[in-house]
Amino acid sequence: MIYLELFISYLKIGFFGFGGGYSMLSLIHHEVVVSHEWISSAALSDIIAISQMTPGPIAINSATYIGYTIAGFWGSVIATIAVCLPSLSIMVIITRFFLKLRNSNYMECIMTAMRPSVIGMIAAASMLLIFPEEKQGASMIDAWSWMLFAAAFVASLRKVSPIKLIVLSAIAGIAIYYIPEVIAPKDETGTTESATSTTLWRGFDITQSEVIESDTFEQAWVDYLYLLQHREPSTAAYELKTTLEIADSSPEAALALFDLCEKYLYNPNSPIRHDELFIPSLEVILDSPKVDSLLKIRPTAMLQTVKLNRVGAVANDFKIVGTNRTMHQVEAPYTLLYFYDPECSDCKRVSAIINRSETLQELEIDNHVAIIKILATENNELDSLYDLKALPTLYLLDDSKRVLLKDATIESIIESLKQVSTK
Amino acid sequence: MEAVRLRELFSTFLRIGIFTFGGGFAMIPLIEREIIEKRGWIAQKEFIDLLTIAQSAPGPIALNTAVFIGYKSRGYKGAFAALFGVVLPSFTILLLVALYFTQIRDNKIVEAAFKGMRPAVIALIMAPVISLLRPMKPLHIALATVAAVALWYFAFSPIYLLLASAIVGLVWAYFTSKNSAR
Repeated sequence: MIYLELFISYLKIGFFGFGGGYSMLSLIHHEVVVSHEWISSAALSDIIAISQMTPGPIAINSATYIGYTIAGFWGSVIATIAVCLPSLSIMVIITRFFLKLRNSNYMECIMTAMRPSVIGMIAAASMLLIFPEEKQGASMIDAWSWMLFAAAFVASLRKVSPIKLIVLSAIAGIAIYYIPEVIAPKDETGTTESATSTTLWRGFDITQSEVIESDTFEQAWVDYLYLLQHREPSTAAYELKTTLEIADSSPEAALALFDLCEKYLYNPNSPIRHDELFIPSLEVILDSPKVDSLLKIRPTAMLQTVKLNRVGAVANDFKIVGTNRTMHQVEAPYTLLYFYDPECSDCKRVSAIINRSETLQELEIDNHVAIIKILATENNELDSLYDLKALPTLYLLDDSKRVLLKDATIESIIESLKQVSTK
Repeated sequence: MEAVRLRELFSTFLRIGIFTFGGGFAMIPLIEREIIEKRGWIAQKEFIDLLTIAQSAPGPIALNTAVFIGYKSRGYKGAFAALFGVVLPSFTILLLVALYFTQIRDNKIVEAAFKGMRPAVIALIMAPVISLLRPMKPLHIALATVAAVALWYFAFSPIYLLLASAIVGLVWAYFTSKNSAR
């Protein structure tokens, strides 16, 4: 029963979440994403972003929002009560205990010893907010941030009310960062212009979802996607985006076209799958004002995954199981990453090729290429670092661990290694 | 001190709940202002003890703080009133967001307001550190600095830090009480 599960999960989060909001996040993540699979990791980061935009403790915010998302109004009530209960009961006991014992020598000594640590915790929390580990959602974004920070700090020491300061800083934020969308109407007329001049794409009216769902269109679209891949990447992405934006005048058509893009550019079984071209299709859907935001949750998650380890970017580092080295510490002019699952039949085929290929063996003996085989099924943390929607997945990296080939076939990797080694 | 009225307890924490942006620590300056300076429900001296307890107990700091102050002022009823006050804004707003404003994160005005608020909230969290350190002995200030660096720079776990300092306090108490007994 969902209510009971929700209750128990949030009871756990409330009970074991020490040290406040952000340290609770990993616990929340574990409960709602990993063990119950109520929502995806990307949806959770959406909720965190929303929590940061609303007042109140993040634990309550996530309880209300997630509770509502998965079990409606009563779900949100139950999750919120559950997350409060441990605090309420434990704090009442501790407070009673403290009020009784506070004049004892023991309590006095313990408190005296703990005080500096607690102040240190608050100081550390503010330092972490100034210099966060992840750039995403950073607080200090420019010189204005520092000015606001300094002003608020001085004002706060001078005993200006915090509520007043929060309201004033919000107003300052709007004054500094909010750019009224004067560009928007111009942009809109731009697109409507091109829309009136041509809602036709190769004779198809792609603002009509029925047209997009027809077989003849699908065939033409696949041919088009295939041809685009042989163009210069940035031109191809731009052209695809322009075409998709025509369909964007109707949300149904935009979504139907997006489904086709997903089917051929993203689906692991598609022979023409292509992350770099899928990115513009995701961006068009996510930017579309007409598409319902709930329908954007999945594309948001996809965009995050697709943007991992793009060609030309440094591949994410990870610890190599069974050694104490990380992938970046392996030195070689080329690195082949091979994520596999011993059970899958295609992995067996690829493993056999890797083991038998003379080119690969020679290159490995000459220390020209390092082959790193990763058992993807054992290593859950890889899921957030690499897009492993299907196995096997292969990457070819250069000497500075930049991605040369992403999610490539073993044949194409051997082929390109052959070319560079003969040079 | 005359008994704190439940309604006042509730409404004060409601105010605090509405303006706690950016996690539990952001509540600290509001507590200092609304509870200690304006209403005097707990003494400035007790403030640091309150923070110590709220951070050592499981659960969100904001809730723990509310329960402590509520219970201390009016017992169980007070704890409920304060907790209810601090949770209600968060609950209502998130429910409204979930119902009607799932696009809130794309709202340019809200986003701009937050870009302005975030640095100010950090400053608000930092300012009480100064006021808390002011009456302390140099040794304690040094310890607080060490703790901050350990947590921030070396990513030391706050739970272990609190446990370790509690144990130090306990051992210290054990020896001092032994000495005074002699």
